[in-house]
Parts: sequence; C-alpha cells; structure tokens
Amino acid sequence: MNSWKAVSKTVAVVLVLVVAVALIATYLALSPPYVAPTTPTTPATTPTSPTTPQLKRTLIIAIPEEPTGLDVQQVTWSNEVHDMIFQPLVVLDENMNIVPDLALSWEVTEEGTVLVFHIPSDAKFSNGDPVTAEAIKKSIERYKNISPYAEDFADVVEMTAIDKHTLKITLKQPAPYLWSVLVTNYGAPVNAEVAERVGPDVFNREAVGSGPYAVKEWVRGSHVTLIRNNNYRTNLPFVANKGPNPYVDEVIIRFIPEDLTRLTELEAGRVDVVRGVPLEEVKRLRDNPNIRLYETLAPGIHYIMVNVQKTPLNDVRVRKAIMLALNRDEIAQILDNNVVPWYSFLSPSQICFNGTVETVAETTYAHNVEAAKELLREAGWVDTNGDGVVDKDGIPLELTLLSPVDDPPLKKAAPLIQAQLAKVGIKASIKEYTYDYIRELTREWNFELALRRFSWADPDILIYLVHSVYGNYTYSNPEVDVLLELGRSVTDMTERSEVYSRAQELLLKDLPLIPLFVLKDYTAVNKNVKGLLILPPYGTMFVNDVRIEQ
Amino acid sequence: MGLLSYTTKKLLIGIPVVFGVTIILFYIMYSLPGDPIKLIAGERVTPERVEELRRAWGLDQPPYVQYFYWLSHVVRGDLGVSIVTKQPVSYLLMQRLPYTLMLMLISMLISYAIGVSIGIVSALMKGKPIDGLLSVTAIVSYSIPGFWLGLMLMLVFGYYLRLLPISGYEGLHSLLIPALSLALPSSAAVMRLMRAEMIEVLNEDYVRTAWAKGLPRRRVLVVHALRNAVLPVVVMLFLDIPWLIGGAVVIETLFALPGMGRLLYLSIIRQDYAVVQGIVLIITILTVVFNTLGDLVVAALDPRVRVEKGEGM
Repeated sequence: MNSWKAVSKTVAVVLVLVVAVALIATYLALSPPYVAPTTPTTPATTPTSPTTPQLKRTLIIAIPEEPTGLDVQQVTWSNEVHDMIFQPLVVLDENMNIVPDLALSWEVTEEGTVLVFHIPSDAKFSNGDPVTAEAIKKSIERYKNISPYAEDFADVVEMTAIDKHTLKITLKQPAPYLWSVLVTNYGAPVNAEVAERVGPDVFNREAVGSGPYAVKEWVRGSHVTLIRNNNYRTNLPFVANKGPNPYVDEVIIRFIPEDLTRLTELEAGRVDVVRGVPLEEVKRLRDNPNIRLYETLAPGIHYIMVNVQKTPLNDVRVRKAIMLALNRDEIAQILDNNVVPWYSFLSPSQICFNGTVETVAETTYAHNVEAAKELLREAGWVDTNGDGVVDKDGIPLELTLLSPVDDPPLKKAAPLIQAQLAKVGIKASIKEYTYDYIRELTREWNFELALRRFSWADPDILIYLVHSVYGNYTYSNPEVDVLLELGRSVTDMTERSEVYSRAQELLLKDLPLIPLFVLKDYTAVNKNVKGLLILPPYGTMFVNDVRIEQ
Repeated sequence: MGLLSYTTKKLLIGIPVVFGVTIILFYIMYSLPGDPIKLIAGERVTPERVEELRRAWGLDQPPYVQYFYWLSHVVRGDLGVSIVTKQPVSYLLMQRLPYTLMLMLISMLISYAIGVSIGIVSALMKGKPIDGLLSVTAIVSYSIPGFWLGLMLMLVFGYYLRLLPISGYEGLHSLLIPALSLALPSSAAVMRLMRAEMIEVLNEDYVRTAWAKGLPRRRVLVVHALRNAVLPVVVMLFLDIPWLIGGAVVIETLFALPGMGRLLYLSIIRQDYAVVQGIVLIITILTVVFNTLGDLVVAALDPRVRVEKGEGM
C-alpha cells in the first residue's frame, strides 16, 4: 500500500512539472517569433509600387551586436539600426565632401560662426509630424541635455528658427568638427516632442526619426523589424530614388553574435547582408560566386600607444627605433592583406587626409633594421652580453606590449610585432586584456606599449589622444596642442587640412603613437541584392535604390 | 506529516545560500579589472562627465553600500536598472527567461529519453559487443564540446538539409538543434549512470526472488528493477540545472537565441553589473528550488529517505 502512496506522489510531482512546461510553452507561443524570410509580404501600397512577383520584399541584415538602445541620443555607440531610423541633415559622399540628406541646402557665414540650414517644406518624421526648424532645434537641445556626447554641441550658443523651414545656429567660435557629428546618425534629428511625451525609456525602445525605415518591433536579443517610412524624402545627390523605396517593404536587422553562424545564414540565403565579416573568412567569401564583398577603408588607424613618460621610452630615439623596426608589409601579410600598412595618423577615409604626409612618413620610416639598431646604439643601448637583447648599464631593454584579445587584427599582429622588435634587440612581452581595459590602463598611464585603434571621420579625434589636456595621456607638446586647438576652429577645409598636416609632421617627429595599419571593413552581400550603396567613412548603407531579386 | 516541514526546511536553508552567492558575486564583480562607467562613456566623453555618470549610478559609493542598496531593492522586487540599456533588469529578464527555460526543458527531455533507454539496453546487454559499442559512443559524445557539436548539427540540418532554421528563434522547432547540442553530451552521463544502477539492481536478491517467483519479464524489469534503479538518475536530473544553464550561455550565443544565457555573456562583457547580478540571482534560486524538488521526488519515491532525514534533524 505504501508504494501506491509513493507512486501517487510521484504522479503529482510529474503533473506539476508537466503543467509548468505547458505554461511556458503557451507563454512562448504568445511571444513574437522571428519571422522567416520565406513568406513574401503583400506588395506595397505606394502608387509607384510595381507588383513584380519575383522581388523579395524584405531585406534581412545580420549584424554582430545588438544596439543598447534605439534612441541615438542616449547610446554611446550607434549602428545600422540607427542608420535606418534616423536621417542626418548632411552626409559625406565617397570623396569626403559634405552633401545634403535631409537638408535642402545650408550656408556658413560670419566667418564660420553662423550655420543656416534650409529644410524642405514637406519634411516629416516617420509618424507624420513635420520636421520643422523648431523640431530640429528641440532635437539638438535634447542632445545637449541627455547625450553622453553632449559636448559635441558645446559651442552652440543660440538656435533660432528664422521661419518654419530655416534654422540658424550661432556658434561661440567656428566649429568645423561639428560637421563630423552632423554627418553621422548622432547628429540626425529625433522627434523630441514624442520623446518628451513618452519619456526617455520608452523612446529608447521606440525611437522616431525621419530615416528611410521606422521601428515596427524590437525583439530583445533577436532582431529589430523596421517598416518603410512612407514619409521619407531625401536630397542625397548619389541616389536615384529620393522617396520611400517601393521595392523593400521591411528591413529586418538580426543580431547574430557568432561569426560563423552569421556567415552560414548568408550562404544559405536566409540573410541578404552581413556586417562585421571576420577577416579570416574574407578569402573564402571572395571565391563564392553568389556573394559580393564591399570594401571600405576604416576612418582611423590601428597603432601602438607609447608611454612617453617612462624610461627608456621617454627617449625619442628608442621610439624611432621601434617605428623603424616594424615591417608593416609583413604585418599586412599575416592579416591576409585585409589591412593597408600605414605610417601617418589619418586614414584616407578621414576628413583632412593628406596623401603627401603619408608618403613622406613612409619614406622616412620604411622598415630598416640597421637604422633602428643604430638609433638604439646612439641612445646607449647595445647588446654587451650577447644574449640578443640590447642593454644599458646592465639593464636589458624589456618592454610590455598590451594586446587586446577582442580586437582580432591587433591580437594577431602582436606576436609578429614582438618578433620584429626582437630583431633589433628589444625584448617585448605580450600581455592580453580586453580592449576597454587596455584603454583604461593607458588612461592611467599604467603601461609601456599598448595596441589601440580609433575610428572617427574627423581629425579632431587626435585631440583626445595627444592633446595634453583633452587627451591627458602621457604625451604633451605645446606646439601640437596649439595646432589641434586651431584645427577645431579653422573653417576653410584646405587651411584646416594644412593645420592637421603640420600637426602630423610634429607627431611623426615625437612618435607618441606608432601607426601600424588602416583596416579594411567588409560587408558581404548576396548577389541578388541590387543597388545597395556602401560608403566610407563608416561603411554606411544606403538602401534607397535596393531591389532584391529572387 | 513531515513532507511539508521537510520542504520548508530545505527551502529555508536555501535562503542563506542565495545571499551567500550574491555577496560572493558582488565581491568578484567589484574586484574585476575594468570600470563600467568608462565603458559606457565612449572615447569622446570628458572626465567631468565620467564623474557625473559615476555619481548618478551610485558607483562612487563603497562596495558594501552598493550591495545593501541593491539588496534592499531586491527584497522589494526591484532588480535595478541596466547601466548599458537603461532598462529595468526585471523587464530584460522576463523577456529572456522563457526561451532559456524552454531550451533547458527540451534538452532535458531529449537527454533523458536517450540516456535512460540506452542505459537500460546497455545494462541488459552487459558484456555483449553491443554494450561495448554503446559505452564507447557514450564516452565519445560526452567528450564532444557542445559548441562544436552545435556547429556541425547546424551545418547538417540547417545548411545542407535545410530541415530546420540555422539560427534565431522562429518557433519551437528553432530550439531543436540547440537543445540537441546541449542534450547529447549530458545524455551520455545519464546513460552511464542508468546502466550502472540497473546492473547493480539486477543483481539484488529481490530481483532474483522476482525471477524465481516466475513473474513475467516485463514486470520484473519495470516494477522491481527499474523503479529502484531510476532513483539516482532522477536526482541527477534536478542537479543538472546549473550545468545546463552554463551550456545555454554557449549554445544561445552560437544559435543567436534571445535567451538569458546570451544576455549573461553579453552583460559580463559589457560589465553590466545589475543584469549579471539579476541573472545569477535567478540561476541560484532555480538551483535551490530544483535541488529541493529533487530531494522531494526522492522522498516521494523512497520513503526511507524521508523518514531518515525527517527524524535525524
């Protein structure tokens, strides 16, 4: 009898479990599943819409990382999702010239202290609210209030709506670096009225902008579904279709962290576009006839940051020896030539890039083991005991090289850099940390050599790395400080480019940073996606003319 | 009877366990290198703004103040706000938890279906070539890393055969390959245990008696042998929970599933302390609850356990 009692209890426990399973299953059934791309959606209701049946009407983009929020004014890094939702006033074309997007036109007057933007009279946010001068003013005011990058607009002293469609921005001083904010989605107007009404948390989930697509649904950890913004208008000179794209009804942006999974989805045709192509897969994808690779140069360089306060690195001859000891072609080779060897501080995808500076740097610092050894000898470093490591006063030249585990090209280059330094008698030991931790260590001046990178279209980024106050890293040179400050206020682009070229020349003499390479960014796209445009500096995708054939 | 008080006692013991885990975790997170504020502040953020943010998030306080602040809110059901996404942690967790629970349940079902049945077969065939073959297979599948297995299954069923989705959540069938990748290695452990227990029980006197009584084969095996042999295997089911969650971290990331494991991984990387604390709290509670459940099931199946523990305490 006792066993029967036990059995009934077992049954009870099992029943409870079954009920739990059933409950969860129901819950799951209710939560929105990711929509499979195979089901063709109904043709667009736009009058221009052709009902060609062989077009796939949903564009699926796979990216590695989910945004932390959709409100571009609250995030510290933005991505493809924000590019779809928001529309900057102006953007950069492939030659790094500023061209209109939302704005019709603009004027810079009063020696660069007044900017006037003309907004099209029919400009609207995706929810139908008009994008007026007043609305843009509100958006920028909100940016100054809540964005972690509020400083971007610090020089803005006054904004006035001259009329409904004309915005006048008055600056404390000329601020050419402001353009590099305006050309990104950070500088794009958000519907501040809605943001105010729903509050920052909700707006961070359901942001409203005037970009080509609008938020329909965000399933955390999975994807964002964007629906065509039928109010979209653009003045982009390089796209044919200036209105909503009639061929693509929805854009689904999926978050797939694992590289191999992301590429398998592309090769299986379940995803149309893949961002964040791992460098080691580039070769294989090139051989795939169904896939096209888009290549852009990154707006910045990968470099070694040097602690110039610490002996022996405070001796410029040692830094120059390191510069000369590096064989950048060899580094590019082990990275499958997915990088371009680089000797100066601005990449071709940056504003104010000057090819001459790079050419001169390349000639001055071309790989030369003998010259490097000679410089070390001059500085008093000679290998006296024959152990292959140079020494001075009995102390061998040993340095620590911080290598970021989460930056594949830098991580892969580190052992080669170590080997190349060994050839001139410098013993480098590699320590691996995450990129962000290395950045912190360098901020605390607690390092010797650190592998780092930067990515920002405007050369003003240098001020945060080598200026003695703004950067507050180990390097300080009043002349460089003056030039970088000047770079913030010179509006004439030729003149500004000249300022940054002079600053680079000084940096090339002091070498607080040792340039390594410029990375190529790849986007892998299925061949049946036609009309996609991907432009430097950030590899921004313009889907205005996209059609997906089946 | 003792069952209720036994359960209560078990759960009460669980409470200090939960707190202990959160304290240890808090200490570990605090002593980890890296500063979450500097992470959420990008390259172009001024030092003043960094300090402002640090004050705003209460991270300028000493760790014990931070912990008690957190604790006092948890007791009131508030898990805090994610420093990275600025969303309430409970909101983030409620969205993720169902996927992970479902993944774990399916994989447990698969794992036990395979493990128990093969274990029995193996025990009955003890010493025969088929037993050897099954044992070797079990050892091999136990040794395969779930990550690699997942990739292979993904390639075969998703890419080549196109039977199931490659990644992402498109419905319950999306969980099949991930669950299988989690289940296969653990099914091997189940199988080994089932086999050993079954062999042991089959040698017991009462089983021999049952045979001698001339009972039908099925009755001897199921009622007399299996019911006793399955006991430790059932207990293992409940103890497997933390192990399965660990596996879910890898598998959910690989298959781009919107589960809690992937959120845990991402939050550790992003130093999103509040979210990590929240998830670990849930894992700890789940572990305690399932351990208690495991004890209860044993007690229900085997009254001796209940009596012994009930009187001993």
